Amino acid sequence: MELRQICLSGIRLGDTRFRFTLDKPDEKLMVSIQEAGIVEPVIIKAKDNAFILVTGWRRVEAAHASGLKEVPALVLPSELTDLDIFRLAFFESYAQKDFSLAEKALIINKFIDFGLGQEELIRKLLPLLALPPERKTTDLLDQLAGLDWALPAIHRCRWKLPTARLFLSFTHEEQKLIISLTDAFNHNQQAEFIELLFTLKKRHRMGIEAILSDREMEQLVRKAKEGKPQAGQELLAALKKRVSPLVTKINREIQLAVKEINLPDKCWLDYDHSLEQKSISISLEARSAEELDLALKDLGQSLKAGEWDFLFRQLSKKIDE
Amino acid sequence: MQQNKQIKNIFVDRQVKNLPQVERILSQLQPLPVQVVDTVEEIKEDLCLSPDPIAESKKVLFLTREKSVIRPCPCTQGCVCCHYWTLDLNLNCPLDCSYCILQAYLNLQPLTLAVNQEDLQVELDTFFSRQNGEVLRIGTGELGDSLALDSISGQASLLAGLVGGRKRVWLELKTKTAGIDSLMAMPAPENVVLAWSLNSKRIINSEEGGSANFEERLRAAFRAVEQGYRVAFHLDPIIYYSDWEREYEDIIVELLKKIPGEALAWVSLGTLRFPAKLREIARWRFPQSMIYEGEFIRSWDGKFRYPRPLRLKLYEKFKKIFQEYGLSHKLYLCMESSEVWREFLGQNKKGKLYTSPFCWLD
Repeated sequence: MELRQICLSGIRLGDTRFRFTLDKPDEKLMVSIQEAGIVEPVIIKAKDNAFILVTGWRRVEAAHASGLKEVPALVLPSELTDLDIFRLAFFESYAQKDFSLAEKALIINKFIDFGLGQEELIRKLLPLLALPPERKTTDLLDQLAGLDWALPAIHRCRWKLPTARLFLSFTHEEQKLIISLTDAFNHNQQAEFIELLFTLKKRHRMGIEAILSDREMEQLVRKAKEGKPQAGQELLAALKKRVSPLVTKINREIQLAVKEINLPDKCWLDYDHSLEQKSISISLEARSAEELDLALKDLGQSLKAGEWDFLFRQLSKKIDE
Repeated sequence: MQQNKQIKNIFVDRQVKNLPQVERILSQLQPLPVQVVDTVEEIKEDLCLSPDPIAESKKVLFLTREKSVIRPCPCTQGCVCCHYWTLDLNLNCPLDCSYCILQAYLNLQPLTLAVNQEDLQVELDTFFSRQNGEVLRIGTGELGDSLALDSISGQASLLAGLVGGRKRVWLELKTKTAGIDSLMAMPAPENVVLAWSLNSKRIINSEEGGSANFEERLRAAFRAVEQGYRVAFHLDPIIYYSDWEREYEDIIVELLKKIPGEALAWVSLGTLRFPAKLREIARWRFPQSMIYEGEFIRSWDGKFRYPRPLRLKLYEKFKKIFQEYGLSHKLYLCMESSEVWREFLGQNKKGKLYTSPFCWLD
């Protein structure tokens, strides 16, 4: 490899055949390049009097943004095939970076395009990427890589394989809608959001546009798209209510029963919201025997007044009652 | 349906290649290709290249040696344990049920048969010699159907011979097939129970790939009873869907009309439960299946289950039908919490709850 100073304008940034990283230059990289320039050379391939970038995409983008004219680059020997070059680019990053699922999808897709055989891909590459070494994994990620418009969001939100698998089952329009809402949720909420939509879609045999079309949902979706605080959480709660109508209804009834009880100050009541246990737990805060005695007496009075019977009835309620 | 017809390749562990039972099995499966391997990993390397490695794993037979096959049944933490012991002579199953936990549990394991029968006899003798007087229930069928490969393995009659006649031991052979020919060719040992997993006809047809239909299973059970065997049934997993009440009632009534109560050893009830990983696999492998799209809660063991009030409603319906035939005392729950057990049995049975659910066996 030959080390040269390369004019930035000579690099064809539109040719992204070797690119699989999706991070953009951050503040720290910008400062570093503004202060010290590019210290570590990027890697390029010479082609038809121009250059194709192999590694160093963030550095080159930062250099452009900082107004640099030239960058140090290692020029690859011309006899290397695109597969050799991509392998080199992959292993150059492999030790330094935890790839997101979106990046792993691009890596697999490009290795397939450059002609790497399925066996090597599955047996050698997938374990390196901490992915299940199975053909269905490469099939799924190859398909995901085809959704280039969605990859930045999938990368940013650090999706995992199960979420991506569900996502791919939606129609193109539905996928667009899901991606448009990703910013309303944190990572775990996104996985849950997609899971809930998948369940409702399959259970009711209707598209998610129809699922999200009633008045309550429409408002929540609008708020989520506008980035209103808590909008994502509210949307999730509304979807959960639809996926779990029985648990939601029983919980609502239990909570109404809890409200009927005059709990003493500094006394809290809790129960198993999954409804697996019929018991309740009560916690009290007391700083002296007198305080404790008073709280217990208050509890005893409320018990005598029959305020708790309704709650226990709700907790033990059978479905058909 | 003959499950061994789907086998396309045979692999033999080098350690067992000279055993007479291997020769006998291979002669039955001629002219299928046979390859000797040193480890199961060699087989898995090829399976992972298949578009559906789980389906593919059911077409590959691996004959090997298992050091030890008797294990306590891995009841989930937090459930009432029924003190069952499993005999894991098979790994993987030629049937393909959409709810089968093996999909998430066996990591590309081919259809595996332990053929070291001499070791099995020694292990059973040692195990029973340590028995301290309590009633033992032991059975195959935990990691693969007990009878689906019996026509080539001959395990069922072998086991029935080894365990038959032992005092205070029940051997259970659990199946979704009607393949009981080898057992019908021998006198029925008193302590060998032939068990069928049952479901509504709709669920059998849509979710239990490769299995015998309800009528075939019932006919086989009746044949077993006529031969003098005790029989058991596992209504598991019970699925909640719009017509569940009528459709489950139909099969239970059909069953109880055909099978005399005194031949019934036990009947287990269990509602659908699954870890997240199984749902992910099954949704992909069985896109038409609706069973994973119901209302579930994440329960104490991390598995998804129907909410407790719904599970109870299902169990109580089943109990009511069995009560009408005077047989509700033969019921027990599989992998259920003590809370549900308590509600299911009622207060008067509370004392029994934490000892053994099989009071009728004590």
